[in-house]
Amino acid sequence: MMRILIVDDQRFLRESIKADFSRCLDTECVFIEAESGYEAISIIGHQAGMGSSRLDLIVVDLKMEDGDGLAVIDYIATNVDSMEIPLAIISSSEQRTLELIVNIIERFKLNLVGVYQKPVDVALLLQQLRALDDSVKPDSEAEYTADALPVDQLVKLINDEHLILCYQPKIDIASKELVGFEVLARLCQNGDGFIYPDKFIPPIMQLGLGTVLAKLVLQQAITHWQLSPQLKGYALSVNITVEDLIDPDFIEFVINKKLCIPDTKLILELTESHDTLQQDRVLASIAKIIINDISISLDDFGKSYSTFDRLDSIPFDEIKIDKSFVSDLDSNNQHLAIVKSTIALANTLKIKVVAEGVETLTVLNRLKHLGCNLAQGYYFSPPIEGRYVSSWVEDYLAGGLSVVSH
Amino acid sequence: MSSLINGAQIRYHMRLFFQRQQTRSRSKLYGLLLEEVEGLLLATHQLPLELGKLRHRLRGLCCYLNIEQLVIVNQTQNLVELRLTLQALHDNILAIADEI
Repeated sequence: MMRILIVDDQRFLRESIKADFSRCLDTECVFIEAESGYEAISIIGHQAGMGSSRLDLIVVDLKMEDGDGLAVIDYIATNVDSMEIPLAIISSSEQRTLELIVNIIERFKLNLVGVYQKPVDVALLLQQLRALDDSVKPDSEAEYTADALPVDQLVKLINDEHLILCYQPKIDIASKELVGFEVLARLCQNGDGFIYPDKFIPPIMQLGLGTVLAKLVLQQAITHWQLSPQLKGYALSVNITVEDLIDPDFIEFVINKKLCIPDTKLILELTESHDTLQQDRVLASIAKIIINDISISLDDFGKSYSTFDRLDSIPFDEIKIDKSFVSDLDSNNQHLAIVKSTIALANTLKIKVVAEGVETLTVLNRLKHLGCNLAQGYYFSPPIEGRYVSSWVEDYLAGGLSVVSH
Repeated sequence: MSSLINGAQIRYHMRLFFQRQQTRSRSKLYGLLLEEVEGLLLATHQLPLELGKLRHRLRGLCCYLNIEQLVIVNQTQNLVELRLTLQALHDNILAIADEI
């Protein structure tokens, strides 16, 4: 039995939605109705602690008179008991407004099924609800929830034994040639699946251990490249932060490590965490890195703090367009416009552009047409665990080009 | 002043909407639709007049019936236009009553 809360201030619409659910669902449904945001909040608050009687889905209209959909979102976001309830937003607002709402809900990390224009396609909503269920279960089983992992245990994992590196290929869009790999860190405890960076990086940064981790990643990746002669021709990209650049030991460490792989292009992908990139110390570190034949890439361009004025003051070798703009550029005109203007700007400045999050041939072809140089994403390959990289390269060189040109 | 809506197309989309519903839901939904439109019409004769609120509710109904473009909700900028639109919508709902 499925318990669905439908929140809309028009009874005809509530009844239509109920009729659609009844038509599309095989299982029995219990509908709970609210005609305002405040009434919905009261119901959600009451239901939250009810175990098996909990709500399975909340469908809420965005614009209502007494407490709108945003008030409901705000309530759910601030009440742990209700955060896990799948949420579907419906609205007669235009697409751009709906995209803003998606953005807000994603920041709140709510269990969003989707944001739908009226009339709601209930069949699609249910399909996305099932997909949400499917995606949540394996992840929660496979991953450690670093939130639940005590800090001292997390710190113990920051060592060679528990650090596992994965490598995601970067491909030249025009020639399909493999040009390099981005290194992506995972932590592993007792061989029980990976802890992903979104879970461990924030606490590690808070503890001031970001640079320790960056050094470990560099050390392990460079050792891997040294021990794998067939990889030396491929560029190695490692993520760093502004905090790393402020540390003089880190700069010396990187320069020394680069000497171990003289034939490999080493790229440091810089993500800004504070608005401090213009500090003299940081600029001096960047200069030191560049004159030692290490390239700098501006990561997550268009997101967070990366802005156009950085391009003016720092000789970046490449910029990486964040995947949130790339993955849906075939269906999102705003994202297409952002990607298009970024590529045009980078081409004018003679900086290479890497598109992250390329998942489909349509997106790849669009990027090619726009003049983007390199692509990275699941269309070519997910991140590959270190021990499989060499065999992946062999496969790719042997016939992989045909795999990616289908 | 003539109505801003195209009656024949409105009726076509309303028929489509009701045909999609299960038989047992049709008359209930029809009754609620009529009730909502009559409520909106009545509200255009009452004070305080909240034009924006009424237009929003009209838009909600029209979205659900897939007739938003036909009703041209954004052009119901004044009370006269809104009343005319609601009246025309009401007449078209009544026109298909026998088919429900």
